[in-house]
Amino acid sequence: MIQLLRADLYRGSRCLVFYVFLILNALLFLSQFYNLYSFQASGISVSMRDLFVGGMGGGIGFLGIGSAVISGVFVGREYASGAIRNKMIVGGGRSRIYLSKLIVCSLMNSAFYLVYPIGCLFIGGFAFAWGSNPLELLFLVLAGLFMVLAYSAIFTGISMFSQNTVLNLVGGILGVIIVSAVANILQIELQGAYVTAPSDPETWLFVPCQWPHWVQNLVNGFIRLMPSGQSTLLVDKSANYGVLVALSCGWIVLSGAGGAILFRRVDIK
Amino acid sequence: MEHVLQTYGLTKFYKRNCVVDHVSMNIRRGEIYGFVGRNGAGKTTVMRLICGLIQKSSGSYELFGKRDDDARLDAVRRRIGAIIETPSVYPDMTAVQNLREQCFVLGITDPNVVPEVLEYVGLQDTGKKRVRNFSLGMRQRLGIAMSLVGSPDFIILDEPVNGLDPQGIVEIRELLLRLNREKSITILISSHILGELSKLATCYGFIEKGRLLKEITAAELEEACRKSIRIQVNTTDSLACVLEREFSLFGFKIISEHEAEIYDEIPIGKLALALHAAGIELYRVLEKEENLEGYFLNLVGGASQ
Repeated sequence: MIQLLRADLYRGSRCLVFYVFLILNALLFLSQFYNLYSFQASGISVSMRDLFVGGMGGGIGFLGIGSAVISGVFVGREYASGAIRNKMIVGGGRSRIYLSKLIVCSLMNSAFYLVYPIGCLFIGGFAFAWGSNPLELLFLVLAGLFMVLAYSAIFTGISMFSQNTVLNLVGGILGVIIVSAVANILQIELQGAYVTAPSDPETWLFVPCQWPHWVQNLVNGFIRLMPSGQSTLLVDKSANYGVLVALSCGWIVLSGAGGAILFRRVDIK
Repeated sequence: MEHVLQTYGLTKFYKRNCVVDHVSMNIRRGEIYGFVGRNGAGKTTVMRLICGLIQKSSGSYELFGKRDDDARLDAVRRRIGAIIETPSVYPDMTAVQNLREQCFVLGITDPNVVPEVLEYVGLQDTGKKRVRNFSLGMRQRLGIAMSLVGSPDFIILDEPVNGLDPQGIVEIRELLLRLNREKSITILISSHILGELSKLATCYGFIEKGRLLKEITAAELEEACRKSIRIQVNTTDSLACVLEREFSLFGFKIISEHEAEIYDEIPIGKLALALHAAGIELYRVLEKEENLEGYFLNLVGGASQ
């Protein structure tokens, strides 16, 4: 296992797309920092939390897209070059090969994600107030990290079974965009809406979600379960980080245990 | 002699299509086993099964005496190197980087292994050239180098000379012969270029429609392909006496009551007269000369009938 990990880390350290996304996230941090700094200069109150949540990829699922591309390209190249055959032929062991890929993809995606919070820590602290509860920021970053690990678990699994880079990329990117859009729409529906009163167009009334309670619970569960849904929730202060981390762990265990077992039966192209 | 690989009724179905049908093959240590068959005959699928890339439907195999359901098989696989279809190399890396990655996989820490292997296959001067810029021959040699990193005892090569120019084919042939002679590596090789295979192999396996038709050693094949004259006569009872006494000839074989094969040079006119004098009627004389290609086509033709 250690040998496979060393080999995958060696190749991961030469993965160009990983560095591209590392730089993109660093640029995202710099642009977010500049925006918030401009707000603060014009008198709007800005805290470190505002800076941190900018890195959660809310709405567009940037972290999900990055994870899909990094995992898809890293694993896909292994199949495209046929190098995964070398590992199997010399007795690498299918489960070990799967787990090694999962660990290395998780490390690369974590590094990609952590560029932003590290930037916040080292640069943001000089410009903005830390706010009332720095510990809450730590939980936020941890929940984000587990969300990215869940993304890694899902996309490594998909990539290992699809054995096709194009399918990994198209499926991964489209999947993140669609799930993000669905999660956003569902969340808006769950929050309810302000409507004008029929009797008085000047009066606004809040109408809560009219869906049956069990449907609301189901939708809530779906949004919390999907990493793309989590990225929209993490922006909200009331989000229960513990539940989100637990659900992310579920994905990691599902991919790590289930994926590794199923991969033993897969025919390699 | 110790067997490196033995398969017992190895079978593979893709949905309902049987692509490998109860293949039982035997490869002994030190052999160069030529695996001969048409496109789609099942050569690559057998190799993939042996390499553990795909799951068998039934049957079993033994590698270095370890059965495929033995937990220690993964350890035994370390003694194998293989190129299945195309060399498995990362195109965006250099030859050294590819080999270094394979060293990590095998847990090899000796820094001399990479330069030694590169020199052995003649790729020591590739420097920082990426594999995507290599010629096909160079890629094949790098593929072989990748399989040599772990000092294997058994190499599986699927069409290693496919698409190579004549010089590339000769280079690969000489490399494989060197590996077999100098490092005593057993080789399982498939190729469409039967003339080329016949210069390498010490044993052959012929496969058609997923079934292994025949296994034969190079000596047996040579015997079967020897230039000969087949004669048909009314009786072969006293034929041996005529050939031995009149022509001092011992290179012949009585095949049946009416047929015999003569392997040595013999004047047909004198033979006809001698047979007539001995009361044997000569019905037919056929000259026969086969090579691997002819042998294979005869075998496959026979199989498809």
